[in-house]
Amino acid sequence: MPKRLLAIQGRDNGGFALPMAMAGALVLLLSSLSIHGAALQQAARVQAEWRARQRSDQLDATAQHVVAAWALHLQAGGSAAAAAPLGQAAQPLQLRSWTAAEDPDDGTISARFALAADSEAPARRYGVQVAGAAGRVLAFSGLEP
Amino acid sequence: MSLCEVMVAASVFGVAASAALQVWSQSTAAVVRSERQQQQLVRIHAALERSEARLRQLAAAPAASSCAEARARISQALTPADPEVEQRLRPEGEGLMLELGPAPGRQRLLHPVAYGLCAAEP
Repeated sequence: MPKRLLAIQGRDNGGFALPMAMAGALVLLLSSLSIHGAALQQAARVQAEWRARQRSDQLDATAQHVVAAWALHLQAGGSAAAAAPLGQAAQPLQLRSWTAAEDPDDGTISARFALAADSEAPARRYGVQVAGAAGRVLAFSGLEP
Repeated sequence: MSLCEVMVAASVFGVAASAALQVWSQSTAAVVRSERQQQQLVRIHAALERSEARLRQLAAAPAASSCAEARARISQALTPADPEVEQRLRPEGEGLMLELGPAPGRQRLLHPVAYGLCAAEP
């Protein structure tokens, strides 16, 4: 029998165990990597949610400083619409907007303002109502976007 | 199919299975850790909501004569309700910082003026 024919026969007689094992190994590795990717994505999502809540806490804390500074400003006879003194209270965050209006009927002053971590970040809006010159906050809350 | 081929095939599959098991084990640990952190997030948020509600109740009462008194009222009012949430209050400027854990945890400033518990003090 020619050598070439023997070689072909040898290849044909090769078992299926090695190809099957390699295919099985590939499936196992790929599926485990896929599962691991999904697990890492879930972990990243939870971490992102934590960071978002912590950023929100920081914004809320700064908003309270702004409100306290405004109440003090009103008590000292300052203008309700003046936002300049509050910019410092908002540091290191940015006071994006400030609008205030006085209700002549009950003497309360209401304001709405927006805070953001920086010029790129989305702003969070707040509303506050103060009992005029008494400087006592009647209501203060974050507003839904 | 020779014995040699079977042994090589078994080795290849064995190594791959072992590696896959290790990766699955790490994935399972990561999922469990994420689930725990998610539950902590929910618990801590619920604790924060309870604290806020308690402060709103305090704000409905007559205002304190001073912000120092208001801070004392806050400290008395905020008793831990969930044994799995670590709670700590520490002075922060004119207010109190409510720290809730375990890590990474949340921090919420409780400024007595902002919550209407006292009038602004120069």
